[in-house]
Amino acid sequence: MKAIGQLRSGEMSERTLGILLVLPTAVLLIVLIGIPVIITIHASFYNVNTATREYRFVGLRNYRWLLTGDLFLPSLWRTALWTGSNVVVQVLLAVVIALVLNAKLRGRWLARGIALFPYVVPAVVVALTWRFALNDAIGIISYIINQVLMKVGLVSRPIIWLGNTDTALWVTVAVNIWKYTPWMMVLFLARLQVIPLELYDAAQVDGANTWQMFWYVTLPWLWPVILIATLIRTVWVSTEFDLIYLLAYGGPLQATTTLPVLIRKIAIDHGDSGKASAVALTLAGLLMVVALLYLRVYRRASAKLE
Amino acid sequence: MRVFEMERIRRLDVSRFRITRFWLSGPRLRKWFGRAVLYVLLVLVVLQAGLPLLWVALTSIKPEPEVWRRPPRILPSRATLEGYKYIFKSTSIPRYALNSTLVAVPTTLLVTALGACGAYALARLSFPGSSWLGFLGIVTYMIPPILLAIPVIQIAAMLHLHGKLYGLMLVYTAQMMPFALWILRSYFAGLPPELEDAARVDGATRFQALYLVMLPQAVPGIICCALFTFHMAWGEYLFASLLVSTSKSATMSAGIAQLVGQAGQNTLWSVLMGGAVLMVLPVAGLFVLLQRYLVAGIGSGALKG
Repeated sequence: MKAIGQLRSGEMSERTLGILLVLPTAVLLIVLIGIPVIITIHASFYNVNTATREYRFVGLRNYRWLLTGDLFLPSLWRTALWTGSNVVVQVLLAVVIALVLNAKLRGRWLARGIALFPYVVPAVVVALTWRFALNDAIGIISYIINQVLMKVGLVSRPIIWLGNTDTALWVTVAVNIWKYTPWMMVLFLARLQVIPLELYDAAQVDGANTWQMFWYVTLPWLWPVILIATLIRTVWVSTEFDLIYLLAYGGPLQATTTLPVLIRKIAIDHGDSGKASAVALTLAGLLMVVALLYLRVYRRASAKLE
Repeated sequence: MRVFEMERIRRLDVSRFRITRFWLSGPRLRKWFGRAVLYVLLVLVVLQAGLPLLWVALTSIKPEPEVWRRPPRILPSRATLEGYKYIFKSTSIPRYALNSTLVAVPTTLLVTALGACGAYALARLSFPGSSWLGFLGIVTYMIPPILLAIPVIQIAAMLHLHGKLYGLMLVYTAQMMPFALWILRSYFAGLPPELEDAARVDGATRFQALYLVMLPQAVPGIICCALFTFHMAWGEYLFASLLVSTSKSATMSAGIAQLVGQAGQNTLWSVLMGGAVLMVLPVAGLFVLLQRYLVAGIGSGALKG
């Protein structure tokens, strides 16, 4: 290929063309992703005023503040709760929904389309929808749930779902599950659609019932995709900003302040980009550790499956 | 149409269930029972996904006093377009929609054009730094936006990009570039080299071979890139709220989020819901038209939620 290119006179060489074609991309990636990474590492050792961009060297004090201050560790714990509950429930629901949508039912094509819809709706609209539905004065979902709870006698007055420090985080978890389960469902459904039917025939010959077929045939087939999806989801759920912030702005008090929300709060509201950078880097480091551990488990699990 | 279809499914399954329950027994009964359960679950899946948004749409055509009625009613007593008239007369939402379009459309074009060039070069050409750039693409793909938000606003301040729509466009382009490279590179790498060689033997230049022969083969991948890029650029909130928050420059996301944030006793909810509907419409329309590309995109590595 290269030879032909060189034979043709008047045509630029492969080298030049290649560099020309990737140059804009490389510049964009370096300026808007590469340099920011370096700025973040650098800023985490400084006291940085977000508005004036004044840098004052503080050494490791930002990192010490993470451990001694009362903002980071509680947020880290909330991030763990938010991420763990989100990922576990999304996997379970997505498996069930994928199985239902994979069954030969009438109207399943239409159902597949509608089931994907929450994933397509922008985060702002999702947040608006659920803030409205859960609004204490006019929301229909909060009205129904509160009426039921009061009839049963579990609560004596209506709960303000997003305004209560005990419920707010779990409401945001539920809404996030609602929006992002379809993403996993699509992956699982795609995997289910290529399952070799001989596996089921063999299981049937062996006298397996429906449950055993799921446990010994379907689930092992899904397993690699479940593991990968769990890892990817963990990265993106733990760093999710738009939806949780728009639902509750980190409040009430700090109830929904996960680390991504904390990063913005410190950088913008407290005006300290240095501490915010330290939080961001710590989160990135933790994610890398989680990913590495996870990939080891994944390799062992997939080795077992072979 | 959809409601009708769902009703039909439900009726069908209930009638079958009744008959089998009384007339069949043993394994067949269990089989029918299993199907009935599946249909119930199917309807539940559809309802949980569709109803909240249907309610938003219904609220947008309610007269405002009805929104506040307790207990809430699902259907409006009469449909009205007052909310939408108000949106176009007295709010900045049309301006936000224009701004979002001015960001999302150029971003989409830029990402697909630059992405196709870059991916082709990475897949087919050897040049110094190619493996390095490929590595950079994969690494940057997995960096969550929130971790870059602070330095990016610093850079934007240095370059005086605040309140500029093209600044947001550049940020979005950089954000989606790794995804475009990822998807399109595998497309180009999967095409037989003979295809291109044949065109070159026939006298096409390298560049002609790219856009006359290779690009048409990669159209599904390009549509997929365009779909995800438009979707992201239309709905992204974090960078929009940091870079374009004035009422003149705000995109749909930033603008509507501000309206929601100020929501209180005097909020016109039917108007807000109308804004939500207007914001969903373009992405929902694209999604209905291009659903299979969305599914393919998720499958081939649309990792970002």
